[in-house]
Amino acid sequence: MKLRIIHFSDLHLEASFAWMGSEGATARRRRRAQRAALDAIVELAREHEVDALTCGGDLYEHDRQTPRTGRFLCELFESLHPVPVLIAPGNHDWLGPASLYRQVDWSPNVHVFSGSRLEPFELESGVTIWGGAHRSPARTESFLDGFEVDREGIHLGLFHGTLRSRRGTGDDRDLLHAPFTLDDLRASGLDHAMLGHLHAPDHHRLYTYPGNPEPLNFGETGERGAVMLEIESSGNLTTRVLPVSGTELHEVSVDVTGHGHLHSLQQQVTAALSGLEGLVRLRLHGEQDPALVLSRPDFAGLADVAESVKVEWGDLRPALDLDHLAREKTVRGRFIQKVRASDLPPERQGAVLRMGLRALDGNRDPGGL
Amino acid sequence: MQYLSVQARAFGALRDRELELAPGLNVIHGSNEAGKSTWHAALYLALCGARRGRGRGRERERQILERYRPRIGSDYSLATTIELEDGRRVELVQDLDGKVDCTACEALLGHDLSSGIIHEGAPDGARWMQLDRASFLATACVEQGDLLEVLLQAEALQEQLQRAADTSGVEATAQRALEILDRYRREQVGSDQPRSQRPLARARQRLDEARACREAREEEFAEHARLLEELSCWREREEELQGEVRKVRGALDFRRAHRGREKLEQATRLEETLEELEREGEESARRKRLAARVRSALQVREACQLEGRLQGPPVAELRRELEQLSDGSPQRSDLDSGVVETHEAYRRTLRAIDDHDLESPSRRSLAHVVRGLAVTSCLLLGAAVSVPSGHPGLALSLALLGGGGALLGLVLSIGETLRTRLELRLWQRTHAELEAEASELERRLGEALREAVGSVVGGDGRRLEPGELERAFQLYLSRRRRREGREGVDARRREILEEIERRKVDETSVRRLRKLRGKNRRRLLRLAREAGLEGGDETELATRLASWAREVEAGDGEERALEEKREELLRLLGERSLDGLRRDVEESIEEVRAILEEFDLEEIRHLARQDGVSLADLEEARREAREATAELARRLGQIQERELHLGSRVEAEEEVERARREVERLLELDETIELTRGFLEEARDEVHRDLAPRLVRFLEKYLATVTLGAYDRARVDPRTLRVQVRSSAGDWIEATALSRGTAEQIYLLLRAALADELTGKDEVCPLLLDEVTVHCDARRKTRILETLKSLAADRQVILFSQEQAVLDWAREHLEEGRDRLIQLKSSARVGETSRREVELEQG
Repeated sequence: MKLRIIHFSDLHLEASFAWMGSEGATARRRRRAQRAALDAIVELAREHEVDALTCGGDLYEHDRQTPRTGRFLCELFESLHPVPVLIAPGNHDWLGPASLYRQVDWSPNVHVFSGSRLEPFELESGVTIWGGAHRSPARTESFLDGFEVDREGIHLGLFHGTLRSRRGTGDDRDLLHAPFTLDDLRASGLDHAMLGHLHAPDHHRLYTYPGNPEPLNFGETGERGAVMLEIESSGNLTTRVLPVSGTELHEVSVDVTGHGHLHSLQQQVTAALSGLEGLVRLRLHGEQDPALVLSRPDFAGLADVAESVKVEWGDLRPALDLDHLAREKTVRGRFIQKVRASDLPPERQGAVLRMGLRALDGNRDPGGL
Repeated sequence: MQYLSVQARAFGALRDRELELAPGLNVIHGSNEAGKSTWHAALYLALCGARRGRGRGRERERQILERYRPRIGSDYSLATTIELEDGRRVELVQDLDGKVDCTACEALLGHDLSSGIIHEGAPDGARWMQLDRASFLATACVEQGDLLEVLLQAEALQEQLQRAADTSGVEATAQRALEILDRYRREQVGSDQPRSQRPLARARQRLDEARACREAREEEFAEHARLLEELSCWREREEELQGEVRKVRGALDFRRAHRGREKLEQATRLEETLEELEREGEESARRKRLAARVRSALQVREACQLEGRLQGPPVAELRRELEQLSDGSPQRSDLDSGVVETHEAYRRTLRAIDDHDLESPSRRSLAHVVRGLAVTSCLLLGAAVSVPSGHPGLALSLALLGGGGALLGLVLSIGETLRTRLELRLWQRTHAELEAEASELERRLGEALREAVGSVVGGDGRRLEPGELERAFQLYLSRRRRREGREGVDARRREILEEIERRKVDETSVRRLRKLRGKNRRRLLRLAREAGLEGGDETELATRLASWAREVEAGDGEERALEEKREELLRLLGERSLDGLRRDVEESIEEVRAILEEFDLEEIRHLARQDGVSLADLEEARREAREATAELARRLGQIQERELHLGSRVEAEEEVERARREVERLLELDETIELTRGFLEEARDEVHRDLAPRLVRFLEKYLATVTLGAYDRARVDPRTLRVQVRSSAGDWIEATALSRGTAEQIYLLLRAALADELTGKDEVCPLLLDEVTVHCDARRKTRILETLKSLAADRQVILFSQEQAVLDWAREHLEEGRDRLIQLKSSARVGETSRREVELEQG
């Protein structure tokens, strides 16, 4: 008889999406999508008749949670009763006096680990889940320091922490959030650790990082979602990813080379965005005509069905031979020389050069990109 | 650099034409529409080519390119051979149509030099002069309009100088750029003053508003958190009070359980005692009832013994005596009617007592029924048991019938017992009343007889026994009869008659008494059997029964003790049964056990012992707990109400973030503008400061020569590039204030100077002039041509003109080998056909 557990982490309910730079409606849709992802996870748990649903922390963001967050979680997890829902608070949903975990009147099937050391929860006879909680937003010590299982049976870990071997040992940030090594894990006696914290999914014989199930930013790669763990009575464990996100992410690049006018470039961008759903990151690159002034609002509204378009500037080079111009014995040449010789960072140099050359060109709109 | 030749394969109206040029002054003359402008453009495009790539490019270049595109054919191309200052000859081919087949090859070795001069996708020969096709056009090409502008506008010379110095004349001046930046800053950033409506001020205002909104929201949440904390305190308080309630109730429960247990033990003992006593009591009651019946039977027996004997003659004898009386009707006796009446009443009462004894309640008849039912039930049950197993229905029916009979017998037995008890009480009361009445009458009769008969009867004053009464009454009657002398026959007759009547009554009574005695004897025997007394004759049995009844009646104290214990038990039990009390006590103990899971036993025990803990304390604790619960509910409601109106913190935060980014963007833009301005101003000041003395030197090199000594010195303001020249009289004169001719000369000198300045140090830029003398009078024209001739000593000058005076001057002043006069022969409109008119005459 197999034991089935669905594990997820790093949902980050109530996260801020200010980075999208869009209006509030887009951010609200993102947050709704996060809740829909959790709905989907619970539905999967129900559908697969799991023995437990586990969360490896960062379920929500403590600084931004509201009573509605608590009600949503409470009602959702209660709907799964009597299936146990085990939660190991992370650094974003750390367990404090004012945290939702303390305020919400959870249904009996919800168990929130509260110890700074791993505590046992006997899922069924011979199967123990060891969980712990972050009790502050940072500087949580490793859950595995000095830990060793003290009984027979199958042992699973559930906590939020950083596997240091993934990023090396030199990153101080790793030390803030329950760092541990693979050797610590081996020495603990845990058969498998269900983890959270790292948003990039990582599946190993000894641990599982499911990654954030709903996208939090562009550039997230790897198959992510909830993870189904199936454990046989022999201790043999298999995992498989169950995607839960309904959000599509698209990366679109458009070359601005040769576009002397905004209109023609917008036409090309519109064609590139046509039919794309979800979130789109539009990256403009290429040789930029000096007369072409780029501004994000000019492109953000060109998508027909996409939920949101985030405009970024890629490798944009002015369609000018700056080396040649710099050799001019003119004010323009001297200006280029001086800007280039300055200690301004490259991006700022580029902005100053663009603005100065446009002004020298008589362009009344020297700003923008 | 100098042009050696230009070939127009297909350019405007030109087809397969070539123009060869000298290194000095080249005057290309032709009438209107002879192709001068075409060749002028061809010289420019053959050297610089056209930009290759998407986009519109610069307007002026685009116009030139489109103007000379052939209407027929597709070989829109030019070629030129140039010579660089290092002696290299380069052949440039410019494919102006597809812009693909463009090359730049060294004429001698055939090396492709294109890659070194590619600009905007096509070879640009101007790059060898550190110019490009745009700046070459602005620097090397002087048109009629440029000259006119200088002559007509006071500031044009200075602006052209600035433009050339700032952007090779291609674009705006640095000053103009700075103005653009300032205006852009005003419009796109604006003042940071709070009242400003410019973007930065508005963005700051939005940021302040967003921050205020976020802070307000944070305060809302802080208030909410505070309320939650208070709620938590109230919850703890409520739990504490509820705990206090449970503790007090637990103490009371403990006490109650303790007392209940004591009460239970006491009640149990009582119950056991009562059961025993009741068992005994039932027997005692039965014996008492039996004793009462014995007493009654004994009384009846005694009464029967006293009155059972007939006195006087029998009725027949009296009748004979009556018949023997001779006459007279019976006479009325004058006996004292009071004694007689009392005697009669006394007799009636005795009879009534006898009759009443006969009506003594008996259970016999119904007991027989009950007993019959019991026997029948037993038989039926027995039959049911013995019915063969194959007839379960019959067995069940018999069993049901037997059970029903037994139940009916039981019910009837209980009912009969109750009824008998009630009847017995009624009988006893009536019996007692009759006895009392008989006793009273007996007393009155005795007193009356004592008065009438005197000491003969009961002279000792004691109460007369019934037999004595009867004898005294008879004596009274006889004495009265003797005492009264008038007793005659009538009297005797009356006596006989009365005697007869009395005798009849007595005989009836005796018969009844005998019957009663017999009945009473049987009753006594039965009662003796019930009392366990058997044997002996009737008298002995009666004596033993009387003794037994006295013993039984002496046992009333046990009954009272039983009643007292029963009352005590009832008081202990209240309205419960003993089992009920036991259940209550067990429940109390269970409640105490639950309490002890929460509280310490000693604490509860101690509290239970305290006299202060009472129901009032419990009520007080409950009241406080209720108040706390109500307050908790009120606060919870308040919080829930607030929660309905709590906004989103993350949205407020995002709004702040957006506003902050906008402010940062504007500040960054402002900083970028400021940096740009700074770099531009520095560059302008440096270039102008460097340029000014070189311009002065260039001007002074030619000034005296071209002005024939009228002006010898020049100065240029490094900041504004304002030009002044010094006259031979020593006056400094603004260049814009000079005569037109001198101004034109100085302008051409300055253009040449700027071309030299803007061109790389290894090359010399040729000058291409188009009709620059057309508006000059003859004298000015000559001075311009002489100036050009002077400039051509150091660079190639190519002058296009339609004027005869220029042609004449060229024929006279151009030097063989160094200079060249080219005449474009034209007889028709250039461009109508490519083959009709173009001929070159080289002088």
